[in-house]
Amino acid sequence: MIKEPKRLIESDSGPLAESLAASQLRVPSDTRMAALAARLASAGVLVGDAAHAPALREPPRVSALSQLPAKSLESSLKLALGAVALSVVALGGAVYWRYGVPRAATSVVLAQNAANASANAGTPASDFEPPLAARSTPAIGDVQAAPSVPRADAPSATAVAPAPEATPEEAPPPAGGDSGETRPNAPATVGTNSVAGAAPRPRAAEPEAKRAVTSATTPRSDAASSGERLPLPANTVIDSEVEMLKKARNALSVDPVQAYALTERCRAQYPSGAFAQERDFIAISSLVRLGRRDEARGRASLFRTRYRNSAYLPQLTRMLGEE
Amino acid sequence: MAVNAGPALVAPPAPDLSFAEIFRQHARYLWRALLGLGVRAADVDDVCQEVLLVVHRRLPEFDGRALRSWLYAICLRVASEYRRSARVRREIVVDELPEAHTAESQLDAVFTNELCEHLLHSLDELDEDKRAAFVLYEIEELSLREVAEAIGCPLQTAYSRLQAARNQVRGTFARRGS
Repeated sequence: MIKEPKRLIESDSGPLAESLAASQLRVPSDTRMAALAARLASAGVLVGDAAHAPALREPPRVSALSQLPAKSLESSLKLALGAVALSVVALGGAVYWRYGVPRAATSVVLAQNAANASANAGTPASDFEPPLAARSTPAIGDVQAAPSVPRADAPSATAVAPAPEATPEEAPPPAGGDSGETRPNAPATVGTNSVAGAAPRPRAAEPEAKRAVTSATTPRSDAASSGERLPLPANTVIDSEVEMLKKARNALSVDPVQAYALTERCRAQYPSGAFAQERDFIAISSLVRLGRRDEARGRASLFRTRYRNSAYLPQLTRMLGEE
Repeated sequence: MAVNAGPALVAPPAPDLSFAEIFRQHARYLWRALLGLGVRAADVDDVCQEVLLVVHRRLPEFDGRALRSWLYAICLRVASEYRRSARVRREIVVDELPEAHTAESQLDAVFTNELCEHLLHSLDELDEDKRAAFVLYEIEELSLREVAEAIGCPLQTAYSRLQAARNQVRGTFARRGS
């Protein structure tokens, strides 16, 4: 009986574990995924809204029940449900269009978003976006209270996915606003909301462009939890949010106590930071490494609620041993 | 006298899978795995598309079990063909990771690129079998059984390759550190 060895990212420390962690973060951006989806659509294998209606060129659904005669009935039922779902979405989109409220998730060409993006250009996103690029997106049909802020570099190719919209609680921020509202969204879900072309991340607009690293004091955790910013000595140099999370990430494998403290400090200093999702993920990772699994699970539950389509979710599940 | 052996054991019904669903849930990670398996960053989009086209074509054959193993098995084959292509062999030595968009201060660009490059250079020193075991287990975090299924080898073999790969990568990192 072979016992599975502990993964190096957990058992090792130092550069190797850090490199593994960094490699895990290296997932394609939503822009890139949308472009890939568009290419697959051109190849005829992926059709917009395929999640909710059978694509004409979709291979048969894989199911252990596929041998039964009921398959044809099942397919017909799903076709009907898909048509109903599309109708609801289209109706919702029409209502929102009419009243100027951002459109619900429907099949919208990315070119349209790109045009909008030009007008509202935020920071072009990197093609290599870690799971931090995954933003919570509402399910189709959710009421969209805030407009997405499209990306300046959104591809102009015909889209196969709708523009992602921010959830009401994730309204597009001003510069340095909270995570999720302007980030490109989680895996390019064809036919649903999370696709590139959506909200750009106002990264360059971070009010805290990188500054010197050291900080003289650390906000108290109670102040951190209330979001209050403590006054700091006049000569304190404040870490940028990026620097702080960089330190936290680097500390994760060698000193999870420090890593967790850094995430709390980051939360205190940047309660609406652009990297809140990364911050929260690192915090949960720290708790797991510290053996505080109940706490980690609680935080993970909140994470899942807040960032429903985050690309961190599978990793979170595996980390907590919930598979 | 015929003996009734009872009903054949069947795998529990798998949830219905659509290609769109597979794309949504797994494409991003297949893309990441291809980088780890030695596909150049400049080519990874094309190769990932190729993987997904194969997935689409072969989806009707999928028996509904061990989806990740099945997907990564396709990934391994396509990556292997890619690495064998003469064009890649000539150019692979000078391949570099693309410049990250550091100007935008993205967290990923800030601290992952250098670390990723470090690891990828170490992985380049592994043979294909060890590299596959290492990438699938350590980066993609498949179980050892899933790794064995994806590679198409016995569990013990997957374990041995993984251990050998770990030792080699650790050694590379230790050498670079010193």
